[in-house]
Amino acid sequence: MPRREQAAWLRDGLTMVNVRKLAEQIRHEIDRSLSLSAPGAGGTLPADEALLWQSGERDFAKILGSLPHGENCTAVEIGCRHGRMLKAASRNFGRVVGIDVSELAIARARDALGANPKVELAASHELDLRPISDCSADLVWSFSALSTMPPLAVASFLRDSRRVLKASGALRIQLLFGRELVIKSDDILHPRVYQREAFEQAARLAGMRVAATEPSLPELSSALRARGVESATLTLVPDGAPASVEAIAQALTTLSGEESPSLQALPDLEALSKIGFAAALAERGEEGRARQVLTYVETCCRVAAMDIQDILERVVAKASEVPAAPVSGDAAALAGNMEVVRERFPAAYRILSEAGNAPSGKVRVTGTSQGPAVWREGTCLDHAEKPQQAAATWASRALLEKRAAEAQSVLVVGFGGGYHLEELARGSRREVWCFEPSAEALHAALASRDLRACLRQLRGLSVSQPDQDALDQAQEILVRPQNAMFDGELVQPLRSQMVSRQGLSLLHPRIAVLGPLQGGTTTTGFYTQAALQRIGQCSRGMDMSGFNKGYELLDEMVRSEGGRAISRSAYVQALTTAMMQNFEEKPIDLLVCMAQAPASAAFLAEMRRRGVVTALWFVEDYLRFTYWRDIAKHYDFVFTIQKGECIDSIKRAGAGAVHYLPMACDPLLHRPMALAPAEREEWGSPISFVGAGYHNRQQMFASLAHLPFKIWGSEWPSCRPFDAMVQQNARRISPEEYVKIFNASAINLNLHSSTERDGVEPNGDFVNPRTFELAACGAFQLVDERSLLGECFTVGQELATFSSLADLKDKIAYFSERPEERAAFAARARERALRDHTYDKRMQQMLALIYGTKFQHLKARESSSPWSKMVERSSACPELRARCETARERGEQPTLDALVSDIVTGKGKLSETEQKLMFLFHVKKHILRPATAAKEGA
Amino acid sequence: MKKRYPHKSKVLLVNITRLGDMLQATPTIAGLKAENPDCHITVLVEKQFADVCHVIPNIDEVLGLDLGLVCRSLDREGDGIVDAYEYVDEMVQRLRAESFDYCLNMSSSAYTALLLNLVGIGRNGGWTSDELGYRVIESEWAQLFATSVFHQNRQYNSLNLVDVFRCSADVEKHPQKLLINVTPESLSHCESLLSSAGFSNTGPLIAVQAGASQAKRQWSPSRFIALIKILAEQHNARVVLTGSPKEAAIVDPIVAGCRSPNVVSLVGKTTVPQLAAMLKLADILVTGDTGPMHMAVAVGTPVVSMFLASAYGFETGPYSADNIVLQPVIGCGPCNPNKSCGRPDCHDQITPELIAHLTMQRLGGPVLEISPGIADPAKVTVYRSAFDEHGFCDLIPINGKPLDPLDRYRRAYRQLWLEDLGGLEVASSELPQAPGLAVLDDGLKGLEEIVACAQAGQELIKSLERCIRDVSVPAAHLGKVNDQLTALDNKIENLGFQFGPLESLSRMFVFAKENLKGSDPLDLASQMNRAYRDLERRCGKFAAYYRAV
Repeated sequence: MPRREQAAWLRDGLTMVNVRKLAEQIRHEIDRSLSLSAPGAGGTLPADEALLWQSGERDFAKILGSLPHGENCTAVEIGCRHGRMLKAASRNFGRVVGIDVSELAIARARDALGANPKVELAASHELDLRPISDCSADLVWSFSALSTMPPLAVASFLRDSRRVLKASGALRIQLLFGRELVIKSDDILHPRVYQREAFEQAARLAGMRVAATEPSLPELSSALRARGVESATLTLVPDGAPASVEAIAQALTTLSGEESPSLQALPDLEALSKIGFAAALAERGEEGRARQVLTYVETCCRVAAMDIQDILERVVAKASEVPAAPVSGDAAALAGNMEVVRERFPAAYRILSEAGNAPSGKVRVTGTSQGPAVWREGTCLDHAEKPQQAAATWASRALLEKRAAEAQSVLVVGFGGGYHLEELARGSRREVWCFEPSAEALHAALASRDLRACLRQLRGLSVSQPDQDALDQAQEILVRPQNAMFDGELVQPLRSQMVSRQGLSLLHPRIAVLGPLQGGTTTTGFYTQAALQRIGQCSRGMDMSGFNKGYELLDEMVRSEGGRAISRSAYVQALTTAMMQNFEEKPIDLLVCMAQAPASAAFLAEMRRRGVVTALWFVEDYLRFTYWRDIAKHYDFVFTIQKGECIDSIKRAGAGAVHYLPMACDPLLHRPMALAPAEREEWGSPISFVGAGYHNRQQMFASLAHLPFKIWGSEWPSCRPFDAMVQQNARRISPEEYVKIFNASAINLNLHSSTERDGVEPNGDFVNPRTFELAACGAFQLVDERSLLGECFTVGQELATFSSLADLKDKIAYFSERPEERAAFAARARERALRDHTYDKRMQQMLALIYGTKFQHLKARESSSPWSKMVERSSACPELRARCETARERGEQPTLDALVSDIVTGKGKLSETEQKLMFLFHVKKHILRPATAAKEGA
Repeated sequence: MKKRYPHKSKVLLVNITRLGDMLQATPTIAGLKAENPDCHITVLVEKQFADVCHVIPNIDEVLGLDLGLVCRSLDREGDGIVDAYEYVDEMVQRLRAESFDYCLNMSSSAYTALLLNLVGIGRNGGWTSDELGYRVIESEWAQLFATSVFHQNRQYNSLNLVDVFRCSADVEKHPQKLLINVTPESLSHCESLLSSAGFSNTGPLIAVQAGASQAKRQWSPSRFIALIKILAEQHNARVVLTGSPKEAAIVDPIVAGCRSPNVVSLVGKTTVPQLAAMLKLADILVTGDTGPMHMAVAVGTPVVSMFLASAYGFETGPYSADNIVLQPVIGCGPCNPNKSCGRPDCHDQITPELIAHLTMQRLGGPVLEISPGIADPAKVTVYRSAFDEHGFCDLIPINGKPLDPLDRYRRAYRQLWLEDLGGLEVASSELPQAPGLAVLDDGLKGLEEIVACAQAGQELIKSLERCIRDVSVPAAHLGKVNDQLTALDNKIENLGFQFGPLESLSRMFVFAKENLKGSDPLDLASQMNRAYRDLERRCGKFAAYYRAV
């Protein structure tokens, strides 16, 4: 059992000293703020107390969302100040505890709230939630307090929130995110901008994970927004044991960038709250008071650099904004709406035109204080009284789901009165597609009010039958409850059609990416593996390149070709045995082999016998490399970079399914870089080429020797004229290095290789990885013409091509003189590459195809796995269940070791579940293992 | 004696593992009852030993922890893990429901430590863990236990673990023997076994326990055969070989090799209570360091015990007076219990003739002296077990062994701990005023350095306290002091490793440091200061006692 070092004790102790000191400073700052007696600041309650509580109600509703609540539940607010939100909270929770660092704030809150048996108030002297016992809170929230505190304070509260939260509880906080971070040790309370990754890491160290993120603080200064600062409300849920406060604080500040002077003038706590308060006043039409409040912000808060006037004008403009005037009469509204539908959704228009001619009488519209509501067969498709409010609630709850929140494109089933679509599109760049099964209901809705703005915001609208584009492009399907009831049978197939892509989130197959012993596809294997992980798959890479040395050594030992063939075969067989053993120990469900992976026919046959789905990404010219003929039949899926005859041939060779899947780029590596002058000197050139010295390249580039041309890569001759062009003794260039070359060169040549032809291959089809990588780097390239290039990029806009040596020379001369044009090409190519040609995209496409046909197989495999049984059995203990699920997602075997592998002594308090698992671990280690060893020894 | 928790009312005693360990706990249990007459004592043992505990006096309740079930479930992996988890969960709930106010964990296993933290008993005498998963050993006596069983330190310890355990539980009033109830039924069963054995000899009834927990601690069958032949043929003895069914493979060849009607195997023929009865009927037991040895002590039958390989007589020797303990004199002994041995040379240090001689001598009464000609002190030390004036068990050499440095360290440490931890007045407690740290022999060269470190630590703590009190001191400065303290502590620990005889001192310091309590920095600093003070004081006393031996 590990022992605790004195250093750890003292470190914790010292952290506490610092926390206490910090608490004192924060207290002082809050007290100063409170003593100003500013409107809405909590110094004294504002004149319009009702407004204060009303804003508290509104903001708490945002915080609460659809989280569980009730009389048996407990909610805790960090930084309650004068208790603005506690009253609202007490209507939803049986016990509400307001915590504030300032005793003065607590006293003010006590005065403001009066006697409320559900509400408790407590001052926090050590930046923690001390009055709350372990695992007792359902909700901990902080509206704006945490976002203004120093990282150490945030860390301390985060850690203690983890302590007090029940396993099913949640922490909801508002924070500012951005790429730049300013933390000055002498500042105390002002909004902090965190890097999202840093915060997520800090949350993990605090024993939580970010379950949902929603945009918030709509009144954020445009100046800040322009600087890339965005506000978000995060939902954090317990997940693991917390590390020390110090470690969490460190994570919050780890990824800090250069200090940016323009961000040092971020508005302070008061400023933000006042701006929100002014917005509320303006919305109510109290323009004068809104101006007063903003004037106060300008004069009293440390926000001189803020464009208060801009905010004020925006707020007032918003308040005085007159809603689009209702078109008088149903007919006018219908005509206006139908005009938009006709323009944007002609297919829907045709159906709707007919629907209007033959009303069945099953649809009607009623009036409410919030606008008309549409009814179908006696059921209101909106809320019968408060359609707007209900739509807002539905939208916010729908987006609490992680999958929905992260989807850039959603398909909504049900148009209703259109309120929920307006809410869904509000403040978001999410693409919304809508499918309304009932043409008559949609027609009635269009006749009920002016929906032109709503219709214009939709990405697509289909009626009666869903639009295939919507099914292809939408990442998530959201079904209105009323439509689920009416159109359940229609909705089910829709869901099925999306299953292939939903498989990405519904399935957790264990994937292995098997790389080759050597060659260019080794790095493709790395990119593939990284992309799979990025899109949330349980994958592990099997890098075989380390075994290449042994493979090469065989050639040194054995001279004859026959002998070498025997030795190589035996070597691959040995690797196969090792891989089999590896998969025995750590089973997989899907094997993705890269081209030239050491996967023999026998190995693949055995994998399939074990129920493993096999896939090959054959990123090579099928005519040059023909080994697919022998092994294609052992693959369930083969993905190629060529079309036509390639696909047909591989199909004929017995592959299960063959699909075109072009190469891609990895934007994390292939990206624009700011190079130092020395680097630019070393790697740059007016004209560059990176790649091996294949025949056609040698033949063509010899003619460019008179140009300022650098050639990088291996297998180039050392004779003239190449001796002057080939760099660094024709050594192999690493990916990191060629990214520098791309970035440092004015014109990057990209000539696809050929061992047979001179110059440009006239029948070249596939697009090489270099094309995508150059594009992603934002580098200008001249690439030889390929028949499939036009499918990937718009030639002439995103890429410039050449068809012959003469053409190449002309293009070099032309583009050498036009740096702006080169830059425009490069920018467009990069945009396209990032949009359509990343490895993430490719893996999504690959898995969509695999899951589309193997969904049930993989699902059944997953359900019958020991993990599934364990997950089911551990339902009584949510934490154990979560551990099982996490370990399964990591691709671990269903063992105790897998369950405890991330429990680290000394990295925070162990939960009861963790302690019980560690108990079992030690029993296994000290009793079971020795007994087993003794038995085996005997 | 200094007591941490004078009064206890609802006690949990955790002694998961072996029968011998359970018997060694009996003086502590009896003492707890004697000093807290109203207290309720529950013992948590591995389920297979639960029945055995019913013959141990003073236990009110026995709870069995089914580690077998846990292991079987874990062995299945998959949902077997959930089965095991659910069982642990139930056990924790069961133990929590008892609301114990004191726990003595006599097992040093990590899993019992975790279990006890889960149960959440406020006062502890033995090992437990904290909420971070670190081990916690609050009692200094328990820390001494951990220090003494740390392999490098074992040879410097002369305190029987029975005494260390009972002191961990603050027990003073204890019987100077182990305890077990022998039932009339068991006695009559054994008498009938003996009467039907067909002995032709009429001499003493000698029990022999040939099996041991580890192969390397098991004297060879050929030696046992030679011994038994001497006893049966030359001394008219009746010999019974005891053992569990698993030990038949050891005992059967011995019985076969003796070819005598006066040598009878009782392997598998007795339950644990019946074995106790048989040992009570026996006149003496010849054994290694085994469970039956402790049982014989408990029923008042003298033992002649061989402490082979990793067995160490001072540590786990027979806890009653006038038993005979043989410890081979060999450079590698006592060896590491966790390592196997392919060449147990220590077995050769003890001859069947010597054991036969000692057995017959002891049958005649307590043996106070043995001629070095019979037991060569260069090969084996023969001890007589005894109790000192404070009621602590001790071993007295009786074969003319000259005092060596190891003896001096053992004596010095014994006096140090009895005086420093126990608050007892030891014979040479009148120490010179000056600590007297002059180098006494090579083994003690590091003493001055350790003392210097302890003093430097106290100075650093003063600086630390100033930093904590002064709000204006930057955090970086506190970190620097922390780094200095860490470096100092590492040095102290390393000095212990470097100067083996001093490691008990440094190890006790390390335990003190890792068992600081609370989170208030000033309080932590004060506890750390105490650890440095204790270290400095103990170094001084140790040097003085060493000189006085």
